[in-house]
Amino acid sequence: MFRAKDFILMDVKNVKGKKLGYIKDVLINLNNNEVVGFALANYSIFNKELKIFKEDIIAFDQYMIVNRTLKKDAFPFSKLKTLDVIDVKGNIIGVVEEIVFNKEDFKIKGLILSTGFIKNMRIGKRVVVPKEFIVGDDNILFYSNDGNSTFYTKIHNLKKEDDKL
Amino acid sequence: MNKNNKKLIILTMVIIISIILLYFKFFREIINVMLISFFIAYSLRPIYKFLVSRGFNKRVSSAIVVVGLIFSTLLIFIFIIPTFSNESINFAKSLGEIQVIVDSFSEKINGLKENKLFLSILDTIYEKTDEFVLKLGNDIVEYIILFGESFIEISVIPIMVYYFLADSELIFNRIVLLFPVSSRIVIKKIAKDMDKILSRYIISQLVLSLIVSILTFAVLFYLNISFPLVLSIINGIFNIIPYFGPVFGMVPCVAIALLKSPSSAIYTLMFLYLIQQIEGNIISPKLTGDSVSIHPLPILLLLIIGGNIGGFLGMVLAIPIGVSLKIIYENINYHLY
Repeated sequence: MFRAKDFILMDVKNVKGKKLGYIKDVLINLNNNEVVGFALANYSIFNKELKIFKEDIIAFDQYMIVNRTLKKDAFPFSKLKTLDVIDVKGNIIGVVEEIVFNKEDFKIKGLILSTGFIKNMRIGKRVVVPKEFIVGDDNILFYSNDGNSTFYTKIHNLKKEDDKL
Repeated sequence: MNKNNKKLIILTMVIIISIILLYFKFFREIINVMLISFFIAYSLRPIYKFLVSRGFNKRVSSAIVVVGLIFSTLLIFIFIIPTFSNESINFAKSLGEIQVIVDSFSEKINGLKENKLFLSILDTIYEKTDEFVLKLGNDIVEYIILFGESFIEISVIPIMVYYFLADSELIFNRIVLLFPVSSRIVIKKIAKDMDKILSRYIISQLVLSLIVSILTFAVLFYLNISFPLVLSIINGIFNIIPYFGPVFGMVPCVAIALLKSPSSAIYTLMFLYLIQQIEGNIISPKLTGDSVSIHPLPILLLLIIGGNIGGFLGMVLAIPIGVSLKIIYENINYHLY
């Protein structure tokens, strides 16, 4: 599972080895719930807003190699980042903080919401899946589909280890 | 929980011991020298990385950078400082001239000369300015003496810079060993992010102040205003501070221009403002970029706090420290959940 933060600030080069810039945002398509590409910030004087799309990504690890850059329009994740998520009654569940997507096909698996600084440490950060919410202009509506389970990600040790209570 | 308790106790002991050590001048000096060498090495690191990317050996690149540093310091001492001090002496004379102009100005306006309040205000201003200039001169002389006294430490700095540049990975790996194993991945990630953002910030600030200095020098030279070198260097240095800096830098230039004639002062103001606009809206965003993504309000807060704690140097260091704290917070936020 990837998070947006895994990609931000990653350097991007083209096949010839020339540095194109660094990733500053994740671009998503909310109609079919997938990450379509990334927005680049570049160093040149011209105010070009370059975007790279996932079909053109050749490989990435420490930095990313792409075929070409495009100027197509796409919806940036940063527009979602500070939106409130409210439920059908109007209560605010949390604030969008991160996006989680698949490694293989870049499909969005969920959003991580911050419930509040202290509440994050007590209960954990709320996780919502795409079929549970609708994105609006000012905030995101969470209409619980089954209403049976809610997901949280809680504070854990920095070391990755097996479950032990 | 017992193991964690033990770790906590050891950590507190280490912190207390280091605080006690800081009270001894000896250790303070050592730490000062190391910090200064580290800052110089980190600021010069982009040049080192550029040389390495061109194929030079690590040690050779370090040596080139350090030799370049020594060479340019010597250049500064031999050429610029005499001009600087010459211009500064004339600067003091010019202050006296300003005083005369203000006096004649007040005489021209009838009634002002008799006004006791106006006279006392004027006197206070003169006193304060004299005090300030005197203190500045004293401080500069004191710094020069301090510089001469710590000659041994000064000569160690180039060597430390050389090793900080050449063996930076080695040193970093050794330092990371101090931290518990489980947190080392986070520490390395934090260091990588900080390196990316801070080195970009440092280069951009240095290039920016250089550009502003050169442009200011051109403007002052063209308008035939005295002390172009001193004033453009002051303007360039003050431009490092984001919002307050350019204003502070403009004030001396306009004041000296006022000496020549009010019209040249207005021209100076216009041109300097133009430079400021070009730098602020065109050059600076491209160089500093979106990486230092902190809203202007916290930046202002940081500047005020930094100014209160450490004066001018505090203001300059406030933003890198603030950016580092933000990176640490973001990384911990990411890894904890």
